[in-house]
Amino acid sequence: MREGRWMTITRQPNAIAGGVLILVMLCGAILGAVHTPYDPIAVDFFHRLKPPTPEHWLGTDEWGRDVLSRLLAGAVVSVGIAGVTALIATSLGALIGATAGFLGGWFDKAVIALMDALLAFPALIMALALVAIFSSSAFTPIIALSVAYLPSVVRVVRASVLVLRRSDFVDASTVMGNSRAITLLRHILPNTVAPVIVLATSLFGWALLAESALSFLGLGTPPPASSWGGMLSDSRNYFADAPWLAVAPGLALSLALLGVNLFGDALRDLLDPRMQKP
Amino acid sequence: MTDAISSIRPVLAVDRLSIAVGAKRQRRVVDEVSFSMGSGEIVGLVGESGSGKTMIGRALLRLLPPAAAVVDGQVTFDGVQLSSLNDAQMRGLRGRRIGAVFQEPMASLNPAITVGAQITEGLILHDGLTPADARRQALRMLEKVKIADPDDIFQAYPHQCSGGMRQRIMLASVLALRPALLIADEPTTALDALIRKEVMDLMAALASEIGTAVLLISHDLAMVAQYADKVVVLRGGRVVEQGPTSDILLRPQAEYTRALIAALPARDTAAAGAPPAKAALVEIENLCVDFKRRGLGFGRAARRVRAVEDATLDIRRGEVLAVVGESGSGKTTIGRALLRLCGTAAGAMRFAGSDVGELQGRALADYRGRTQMVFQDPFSSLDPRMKLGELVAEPLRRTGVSRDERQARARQVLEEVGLAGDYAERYPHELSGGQRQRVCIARAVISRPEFIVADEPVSALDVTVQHQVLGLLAQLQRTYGFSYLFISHDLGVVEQIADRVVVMYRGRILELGSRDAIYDRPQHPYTQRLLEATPRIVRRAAGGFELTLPRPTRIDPPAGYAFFNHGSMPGAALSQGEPVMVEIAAGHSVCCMAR
Repeated sequence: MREGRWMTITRQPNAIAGGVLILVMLCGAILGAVHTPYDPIAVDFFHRLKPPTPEHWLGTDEWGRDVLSRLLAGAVVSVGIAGVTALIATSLGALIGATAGFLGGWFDKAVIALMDALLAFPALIMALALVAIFSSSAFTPIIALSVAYLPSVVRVVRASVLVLRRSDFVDASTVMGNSRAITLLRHILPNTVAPVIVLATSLFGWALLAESALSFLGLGTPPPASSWGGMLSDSRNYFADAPWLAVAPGLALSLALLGVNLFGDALRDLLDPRMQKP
Repeated sequence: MTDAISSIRPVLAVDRLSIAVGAKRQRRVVDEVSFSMGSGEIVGLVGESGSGKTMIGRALLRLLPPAAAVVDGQVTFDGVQLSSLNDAQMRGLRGRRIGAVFQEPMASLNPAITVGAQITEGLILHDGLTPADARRQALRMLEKVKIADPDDIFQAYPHQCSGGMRQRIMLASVLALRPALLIADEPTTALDALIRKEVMDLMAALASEIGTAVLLISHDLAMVAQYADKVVVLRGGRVVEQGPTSDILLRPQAEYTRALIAALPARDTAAAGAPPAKAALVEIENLCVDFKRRGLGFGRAARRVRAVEDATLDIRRGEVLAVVGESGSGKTTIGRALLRLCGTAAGAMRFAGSDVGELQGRALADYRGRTQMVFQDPFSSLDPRMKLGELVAEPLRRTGVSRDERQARARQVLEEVGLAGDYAERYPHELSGGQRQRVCIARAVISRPEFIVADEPVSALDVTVQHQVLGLLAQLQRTYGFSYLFISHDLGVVEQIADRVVVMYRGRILELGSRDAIYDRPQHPYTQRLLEATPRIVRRAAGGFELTLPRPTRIDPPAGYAFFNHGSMPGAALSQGEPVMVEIAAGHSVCCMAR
């Protein structure tokens, strides 16, 4: 059955395109962490604002730094922050949501009230506020974005748990003498995995974009370390003379997002039981 | 085509109709089906799921799903070939000349528009009536379908009406246009027995009054046999047999038709003797169960609704006790309360002498090891992410049996329920409904329970599959000797398997007795009406089959009592005060009021 599903996903052009883009992005991030052609923060005043050449494939910026190296180093930061954010938000949210949905009562009410309150703030605005309060470092955006995305995961998981809780196989589990904890872990949580995976994929995309937006505003990764948003921000002043400075990080971000979204959609089609053929 | 008129010019002639699905239209779901209908005739299209009966109905309306298409054959309606009409002409035909009633009245009625607006819509659109005339006509139609207060219902929205009412409204809105042909696709499958009879009687009467031909599509051969002039039996998209209803019943030619009729539930006379009086395994005394209903609107307190009121019954070892009743009668709630799936408000439940309500921790877990449940919907009662072997073995997890042994036992039980081979490695979605229900039964018997609650275990299954599953249950019961509480709305199925029967209505037990007593000597008028609404096809001594409908007989309540009525006897005065169960014969009691 599993093989059959992967057969279906590999036959969808969207899924393949998305998968390839994600793969390229991950390879770039790994490469950026291991080795870059030049030192991404080494300043070279003799080669300022050079267009792409065989030495510098994507040209150099206003400080003479190699754009390709900065792009790869930025991938580590952007992809890392987005990945960790999605992971934290998903696992914490799933735990909170499942417990709230399964237990119900005052705990559920309190969780929902808190999540509704969090949901009232747009993710980016809340991240901005948190970053403004706790100085900018790599961890601040992770925490800020995780908290901002938490309610969506809690709501999705809680909603599926509420439905699952009433299904016959959960009653069947009770009749078999299973305790509530076993029922939750064995029968309910595994059945919420599909929507959670789909959501985690979108969260990754949102976090990637939000991190870049924060860096663009100067609130993300502090300079001189590179990030895609920061590179876009710096390129604004030189756009007329050196468009490659904007094109490289802009294209990288767009393609990464496109890949994540295509893949997420394909995953949704694959995992949504309503889409499955009988 | 015994009718002279229909042989001259049938209202509908289907000639070698074939419908195929798939990207290349390679799989035929309807294969060269031919039949014809005269005006005013009721023709039953009978088949199990996958027989293509619904596809045929949709093809007649030219409303096939996008995945399917007519690949061959002709449909002639009133002398016109449907395939020759353009979409606009077809729209003119739909509703006006060909009406349709589907299974789910809630899905066919628009929830955002009042009932009156929906009925008058067609009249204004197709018949060109003025709104005032349309309103008068609609009210007349609502009266005809026996809606008690047409003026109120005219203003109401569909969700404010009950299921039976919605289906009658649907009938009214469709028949108001006096179509020449009515396509009724499982029109009463979602309804309770009494309401089903009411709606079907209405449909048949109105159709003959207007002269509408009815194509009655259904899986229920007994129901079709009661109303149809002619029956077309379908299997796998092909016509197996067709002819006048009495001929089909009396002399079924095709083997499949015979199998279909033989699969209908029938009383097993061999086992009819009174069950040996054994000790009671389960005793329920004066049980009451409440449900909390959320109050309407903001700030209203939650209401308590009594789902089961003052129920007293017992289940003996090795016995099948059936609880019958329509939806909302509390029959499922009794089963759930017994297994501690819901709380109780009052009364006592005892299992093998110990109080079920008091069980906690270890004792409750032990109790759950000795009891099991089979659910109605085999599609939702199995965890979709687990393999069948794991699913079936799960009740053994707490018993300390090793994993390998559990798997071995699971395989063995799966084999016992007819799923031998590699089924243990498969997932629920790979199985059919009947196979899934076998898995549920395997899971219920693996821990060798003493007592099983079976909540409508066969009502989601086709007749022939239902027959097999009931046989399996009976066979397992002989092997393992468990007792079970069989909850059902289907009196036919209950007649086949129950030792004793409890009849419930709106939370109360109205009658309780041995199977033969309830079916042959029903006392309470409600039990009688239920039996009247359940047509049965029985084997004749002279060969062949015939349709039997129990005749209503007037039965006087026991001396000094009146039958208790809390809504079960329409037209009679409601009883005031607490009822008593009066025993009119050994083990046969009926719910009465002291006069």
